[in-house]
Amino acid sequence: MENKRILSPTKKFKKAESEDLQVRAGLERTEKLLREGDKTIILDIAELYRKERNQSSNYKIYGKLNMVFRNLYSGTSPYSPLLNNLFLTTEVYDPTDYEGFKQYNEFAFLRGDYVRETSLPSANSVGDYQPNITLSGGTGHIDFTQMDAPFMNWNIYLTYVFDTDPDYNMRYTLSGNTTYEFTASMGVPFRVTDKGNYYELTSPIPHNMQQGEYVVLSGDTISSGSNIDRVFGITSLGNEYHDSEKYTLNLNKSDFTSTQTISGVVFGRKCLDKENIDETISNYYVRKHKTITTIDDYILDNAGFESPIFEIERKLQFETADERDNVYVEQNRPESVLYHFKNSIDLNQYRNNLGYVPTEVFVTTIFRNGHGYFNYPPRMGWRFNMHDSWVDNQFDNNFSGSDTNLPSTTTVKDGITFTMGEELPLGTTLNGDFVEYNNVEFKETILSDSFHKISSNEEVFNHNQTDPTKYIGSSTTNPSGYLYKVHHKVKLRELSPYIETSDTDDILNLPDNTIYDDYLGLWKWRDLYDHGYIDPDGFGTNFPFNNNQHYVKNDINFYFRNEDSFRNKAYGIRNQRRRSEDDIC
Amino acid sequence: MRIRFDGEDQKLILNQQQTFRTDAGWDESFQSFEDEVLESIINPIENYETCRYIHKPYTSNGINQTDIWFHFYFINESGNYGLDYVSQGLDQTTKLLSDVKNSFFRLEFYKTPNNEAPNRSNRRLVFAKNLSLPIGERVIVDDISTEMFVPVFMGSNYKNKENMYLFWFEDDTVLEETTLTGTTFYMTAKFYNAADGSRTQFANKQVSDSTTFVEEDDMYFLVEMNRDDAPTYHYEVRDYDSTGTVRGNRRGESSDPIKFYEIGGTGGTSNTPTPSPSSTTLTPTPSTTPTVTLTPTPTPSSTVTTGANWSNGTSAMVSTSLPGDNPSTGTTTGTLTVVGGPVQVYVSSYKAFNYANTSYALLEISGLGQTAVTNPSGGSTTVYSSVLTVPVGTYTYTLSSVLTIDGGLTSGMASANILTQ
Repeated sequence: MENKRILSPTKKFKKAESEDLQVRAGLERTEKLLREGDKTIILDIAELYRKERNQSSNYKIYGKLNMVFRNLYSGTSPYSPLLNNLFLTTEVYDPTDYEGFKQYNEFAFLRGDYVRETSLPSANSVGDYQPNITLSGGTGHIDFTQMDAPFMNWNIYLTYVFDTDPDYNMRYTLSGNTTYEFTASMGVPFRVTDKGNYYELTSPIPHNMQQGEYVVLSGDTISSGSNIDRVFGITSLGNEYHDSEKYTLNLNKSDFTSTQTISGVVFGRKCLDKENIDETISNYYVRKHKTITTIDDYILDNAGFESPIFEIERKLQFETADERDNVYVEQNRPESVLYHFKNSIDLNQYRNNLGYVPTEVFVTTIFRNGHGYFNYPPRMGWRFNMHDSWVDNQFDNNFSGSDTNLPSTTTVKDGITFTMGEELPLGTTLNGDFVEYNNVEFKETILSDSFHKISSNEEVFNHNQTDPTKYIGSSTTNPSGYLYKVHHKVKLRELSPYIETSDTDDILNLPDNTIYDDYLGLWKWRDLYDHGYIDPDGFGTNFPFNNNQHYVKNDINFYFRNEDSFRNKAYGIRNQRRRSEDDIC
Repeated sequence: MRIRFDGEDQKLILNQQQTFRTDAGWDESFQSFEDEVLESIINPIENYETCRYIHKPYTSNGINQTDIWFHFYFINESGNYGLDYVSQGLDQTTKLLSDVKNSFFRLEFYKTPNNEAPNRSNRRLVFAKNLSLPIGERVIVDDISTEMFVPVFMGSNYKNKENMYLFWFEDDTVLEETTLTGTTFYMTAKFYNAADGSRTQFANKQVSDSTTFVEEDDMYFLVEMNRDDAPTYHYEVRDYDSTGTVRGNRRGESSDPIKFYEIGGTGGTSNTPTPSPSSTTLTPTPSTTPTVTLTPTPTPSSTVTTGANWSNGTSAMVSTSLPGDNPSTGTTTGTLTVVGGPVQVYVSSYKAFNYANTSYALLEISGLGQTAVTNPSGGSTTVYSSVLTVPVGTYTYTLSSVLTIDGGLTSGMASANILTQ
């Protein structure tokens, strides 16, 4: 007879709670036929609910989108439909001296300036009713209706990570317009400072390395030899600044040979064991997303009763460029909208870049540019490409690594070519975050979020976006503009923070995310937490479950940043205080 | 297993992990059986989620849109259909008195087994939607220069959203094993009057005599929901006639609203044109449904069938608030043409729940005389004058409605209406 072991529920997950167990006798123990009463099932609604809940892989995603943005670029426009609708900085339009802001509708999730039917009925006497329906609204540029309004400026998709690209071309630009090109697989960029008997390496993003670990360097100044020749122990982390241990490595020069010197910018990959570099070195790549919804799959609505803390910046324009009087104009509107994907997604049909059912999807927001007032398509970059006072060459129109390749169409009006985005078909591939994956730690770490950058078409709206004297590094091929985060994560399942290992031969019953670790000689995986289970450290998922689907509410603060006034969070309290003088986030 | 001896050593390889499990699959089958039983007897998973259905987009004035329009016609005291609340005893000015705030139209949505023609014995009310008067349209009435609510409603995703969206199950799992599956609904309307507690049933066409009313044909519009075609989850409203073309023309567009008519009356006619014959496929068959009465030809607004034609209508209204003219007067003047024989006319004076005021109605017909009535302070809502006989001919007439605020109240309205015996 086969021996069976009963596993205590406390060993299901780390720190899992104890509970009563039922042991069911296997049918194979006897050869007799099953008789009535032999099999007893205790009906337990709570247990059945738990079971159904964890068997269901259907998720319905919804939430609130809060636009966090201040419209700060004022300029001029030779294009009369935009000129006539500018939020002028003066009360009256003076053709020889004027400036104005694009109205907020050009940035809004839900535009309000669509063409609509308006009812202006009349009646001579009681009981009389003469309908009089006329058209109103519109911008004078491209007419669109209430059906198109939620999709004109922005489109929202659900995506998941299905692949990676370690060879993705990237750029990192220092002040002074010094540009370093590299591929994602080269790792984290570090600025090198020679500190005498040690090198201080400072990265623009958290490097995710610890003291005692190793870093394998590469770059123009340290390219010869193999990995074993360029691996250095991390002597210490940080410098005199607060929180700098996340960004700064210190490498003892004694680890370097006499012919090895580094300067400028180098690139580093984390390594856990100097003796087993190939097995313990981290991989770096750009994640690739695939869309699983279309624009027909979501609804956008204004949020009722929402009262954001920021004020609506609006006025009655005394006189517009086309001599209309007392026209309502908005520079900024703190917009809050509800998004709702109509149909649930069945997560089991997808596999992520690591080969198992994804534990997260993403709400991906793409600027559509339905009016064509911006350069299109957007340029692609990462968090480390955002600088305090200069434009990163990553975003240059001539650099293939920033080409989003989003589909577009053009139209010509008044001799100006307007490029508008098109909706993305199902299965469209989009590039995503810059990520590190270490096989020993069995974990992906997002090092830098992906961003899109848009800029105003200078032929339509000129706010000196290409003038390098106004903003360092900007040019006709790399104008300053606006930046936004593309992919916002929605966690659907939780993997345990710890790793389970086994040398079992019974591989059939191993979890979906199991891999074989050559370094350890073990199978290893992370437990998939049940829905409703929250571990003592707060990890877990607990979504409302009804109608055989999980209702996942995911509110997003959508930070839409002006590149000119963007400031990275600086070191130390003193510099943080200075941020209060900034105009915008 | 037999091993044949052949004089030489034989090797028999036994796979230690090999087991001949004749019970293989039993546990799985039983587990599956258990799951099925449990699911069927307790807490089966059903999708009770309702989702939002949008009015199907259509093109009007060259733009694609979803606005939906409802018109509710009441029979006024002259027996004509009109888009006003006067006959309901409501002060339809925009002052939002309690009777206006609390009155509402109720759109009722029914399903029937296997989509049989609906009647009171087979229909099932599945949901309803209330349209409150203050969210209805307003119009400025020129002759009294007053903005008034009218029983016209528009729903759009621009304003008054609640008129436009319907909510229903996103699939039919909860209705399985019933005869109520499907996406076909029958819509009718009622008016709940907070002024006097009355309830008014509407028909889908003008029904001149309530005794000839046929519920299956005269009361419902067809509402069809669609879960598949873009935009996902939408509905449209169509004419319905169980004996003719069941699925008629689409209604609810801005140029072709859904028109509900109060049932009953005294053979009255509409003072608004009815849909032209070319825009409907309703083909009532008199031989099988002699009770259906359609008026497919447009009827001019000033035409009445009782032998008298009042060129500027048969009502006069006055509304005032202090400080203002007191008394104040509203007047209608026009030409009366009587044909086919003398008619007997009289006037009513109506005060909408402002008993403390005095109203006065006066009809003067040139060369013939006048009839008048006073509705005194503390008096009833409506009073009637004596009858005046008008021979065949053409006359100038003046109808006046006078309102006097006697104290206690600081505002009020009154209307005078010409009635024909």
